Amino acid sequence: MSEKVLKVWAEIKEGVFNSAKVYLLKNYCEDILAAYRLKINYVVSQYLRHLPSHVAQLEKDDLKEIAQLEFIESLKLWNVEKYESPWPFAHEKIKGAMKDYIRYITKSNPTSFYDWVTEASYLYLVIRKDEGFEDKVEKGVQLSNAMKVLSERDRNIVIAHIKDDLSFKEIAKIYKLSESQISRIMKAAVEKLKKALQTVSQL
Amino acid sequence: MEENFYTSLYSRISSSSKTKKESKRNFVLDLPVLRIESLKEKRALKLIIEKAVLKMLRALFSDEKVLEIKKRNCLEDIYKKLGI
Repeated sequence: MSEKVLKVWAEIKEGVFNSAKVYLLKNYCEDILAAYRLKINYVVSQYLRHLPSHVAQLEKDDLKEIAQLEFIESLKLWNVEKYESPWPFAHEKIKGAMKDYIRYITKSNPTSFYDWVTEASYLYLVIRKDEGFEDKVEKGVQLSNAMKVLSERDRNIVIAHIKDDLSFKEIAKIYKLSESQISRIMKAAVEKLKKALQTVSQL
Repeated sequence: MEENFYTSLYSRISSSSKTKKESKRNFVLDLPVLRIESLKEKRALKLIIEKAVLKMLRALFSDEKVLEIKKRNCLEDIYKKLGI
């Protein structure tokens, strides 16, 4: 192959790949999505498992759409020469997009405070399973106050895990600790909260 | 699938840039008209393009679908733009 041809190819390849991608997305979008639907749905269902059930139920369809759109978006950025399949990159992008969406709706929603109280009450539910619903909400507020017994770092870890749905692995990365250390901190924090709540209920 | 989904999908396909950090890279669609006179070189370039696009098709579709897309001469438009 002549050097001239290879030089021309190096100059035009990005445009060629992108033109081909646009052609395929315009004419065969459904086929591409169909080929990857199982994988995309699997990633969505895995993510939904980590969300509180009421959030998962409400946001399921939106998350599926976001995942599909993000998959298409990642095809645009897929480096065909470097990676044989678009999936590893798309997989990460889809997970990120779903997290961004959940963060966005929980932050922009004016009822997010209520959600926080409700979520806190779920945590309380884990601690004491024998409470009625009204009690749980009330204790949720108490729990919010009880969080003050925790150090700032521990409080942030609890919030990151319970409110922001981060896994121990993700939190461990942020705090440069091991996954098991985060697990221990979380366990100890729950114990501290449990004690703090018991003190409040005895008053 | 819902109409809304496709509306946003197509707007994403045709958009050339996004606000997201990782999507800031330009989505180059321009193809220059090449000044290649030699038939041999034109054929060689077409071969490279076909091989590269075929690799992309194989990652996205089944063998059957790849053949179907190939039959539709999906590369003709690109060759035309490049003038080869």
